[in-house]
Amino acid sequence: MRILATLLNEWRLFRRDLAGMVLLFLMPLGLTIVMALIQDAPFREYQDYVFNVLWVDNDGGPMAAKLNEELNNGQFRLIDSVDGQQIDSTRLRQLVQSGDYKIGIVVPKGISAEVVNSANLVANELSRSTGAAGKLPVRDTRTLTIALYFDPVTKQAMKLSLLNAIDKQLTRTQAEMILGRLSDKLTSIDSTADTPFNLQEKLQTVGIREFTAGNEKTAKLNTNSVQHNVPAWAIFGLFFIIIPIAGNMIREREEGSLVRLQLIPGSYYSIIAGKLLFYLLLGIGQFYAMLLAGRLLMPLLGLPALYMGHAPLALLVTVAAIALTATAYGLLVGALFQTPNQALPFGALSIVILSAIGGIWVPVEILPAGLQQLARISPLFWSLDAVNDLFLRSGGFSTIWKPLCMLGGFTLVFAALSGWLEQTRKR
Amino acid sequence: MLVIRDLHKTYRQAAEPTLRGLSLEFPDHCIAGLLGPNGAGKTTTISIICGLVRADSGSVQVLGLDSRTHPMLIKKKIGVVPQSIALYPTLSARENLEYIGRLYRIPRSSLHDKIDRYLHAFGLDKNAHKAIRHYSGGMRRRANIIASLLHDPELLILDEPTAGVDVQSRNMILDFLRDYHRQGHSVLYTSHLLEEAQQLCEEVAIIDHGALVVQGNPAALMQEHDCRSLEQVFLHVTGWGVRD
Repeated sequence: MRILATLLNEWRLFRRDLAGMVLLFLMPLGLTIVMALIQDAPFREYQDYVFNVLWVDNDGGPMAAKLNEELNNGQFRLIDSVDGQQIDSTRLRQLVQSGDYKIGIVVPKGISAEVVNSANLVANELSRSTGAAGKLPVRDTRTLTIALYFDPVTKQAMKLSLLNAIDKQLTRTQAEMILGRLSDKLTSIDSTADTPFNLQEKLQTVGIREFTAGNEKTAKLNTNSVQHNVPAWAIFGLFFIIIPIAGNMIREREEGSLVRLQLIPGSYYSIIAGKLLFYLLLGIGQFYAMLLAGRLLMPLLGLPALYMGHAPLALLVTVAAIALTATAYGLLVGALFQTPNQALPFGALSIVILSAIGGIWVPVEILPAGLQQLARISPLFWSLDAVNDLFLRSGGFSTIWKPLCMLGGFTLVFAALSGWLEQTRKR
Repeated sequence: MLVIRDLHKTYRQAAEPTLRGLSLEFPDHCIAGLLGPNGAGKTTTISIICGLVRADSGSVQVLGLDSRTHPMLIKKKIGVVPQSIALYPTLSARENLEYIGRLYRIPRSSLHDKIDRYLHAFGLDKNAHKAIRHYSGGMRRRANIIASLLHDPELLILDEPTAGVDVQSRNMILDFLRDYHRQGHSVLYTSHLLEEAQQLCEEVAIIDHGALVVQGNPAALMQEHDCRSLEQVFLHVTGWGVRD
């Protein structure tokens, strides 16, 4: 009865605090949406984008044409004229330097001839070693360079990604041309063959394909902005529950209502339990509201829908554990400080710091090694770890027991410390 | 109703003890006043009686019960009106009283009856649904007293119940305390208003520097110290020096 009475009383207090409700529900929702939208681009693979690339072909041969065709089919749209005028290498450099275009490619004259010459050299060497007749025309090899130009503000990671993509395409096109020549040569050596010998096909017997280590359902799921940001900022928002908890505790002390509660016979722990239960339910409600937004609202904003794993019960237990940890931390902050002016900035800043080192802002994997170790002291790290286990690794109770134990440990430490501080204050 | 023997208390990090062997005794079923200048130890004494603060040594018996061995039973038998308005300011008087009544495990039907009765008795029935923060000082004091009466305490302890209230509210509070006493209950109260204490109390104890200075019936004390008022007795025994 006392627990339920306290639960109802907390609800009444919360209902009267419109600003608190906005802080707890709408602010984290707004933050989650903004962060998911902002981080959508960095989370996408560069292959997901189509880049406008300035293209100057000084070669005019089959190699340049092949390269043009292959690049145009992928993530690049090659542009060889601007404002109705064909561009040359000088104009291309101006346009890239000014930032109007991010990338420019200049194909040098003679590149096709050079590739053909290389192919002929290989084919002739093959003929010589097999004793086959016939020799293709060759000359000394020259080194030619395809020039790439990048806008100076282009980030290194993006530049490397694009360089790799173009280099791969160039190597492939060259290889195809050389292998084509060799296939022709091999077919001419074996005149008894019914069908032309396709060397390129023979060299593609071993390929690469990505498989998932988890179950089949997540095979196509890559981490994305929604998958990272919604759980991460929902956890961040849930931990902000410490603000009303600590604020209410201090207000109760300052206004004297705590004295009233302590004067009433019966265990004060039942009153604490009622408060804990209220904030636990509030935290769970807040977290699921965020997940629902990730599931239903994000697709309306052009973002992927949140995938929530296949273990709803484990998710509920995880969310409850996170909410309990946050509530216990709120009790500690409330017990630690004398005034709201001390507690609220500390509470808010400590959450920001714990979230930064706990992988909320950016995944822990990309933090320096030292910070990755430090992340383990943040309850937000274990919270996110458990949720990621359920969402991205399709885990269940068997995989989240460790983060759950860690969250339980944090809860016990926070609750014990706040109890000790309150007892000390009474003396 | 109250027996205090050799009570000592020094707060952590305090330079001096707050209570230095305080001993006093109030008989059953009386209105008693615990008086003293600022810093005399009144609030600490009341806090120890209520179980909010632990004494370093000494003993306290409330209504025949030892405070160390029966703290919960004592809490059931006493009602305490703290000096601060110990209510939630954003909740209405009725909501505050409902919550407090439920914590006392008062059955719902009788709780509502009691709340209605007391709100009416203290003239708050028309503002029962108004948030406490919108109450005047006098209304808050009255609501604060009701919150301590819901469980029908045998002993009502009030810490400065009339501080900062208008004359009408003060009269209402004092009339109520007399009525409550007439119904067979005991009352212990502290106040700086010595004229008020002189009118209300059957027994007073004046303490200073954490120890008892004088105790007795106000009229007897005035006669004993050859003073015309309790205030003169007070100044006579505690001195004219200003206290912090």
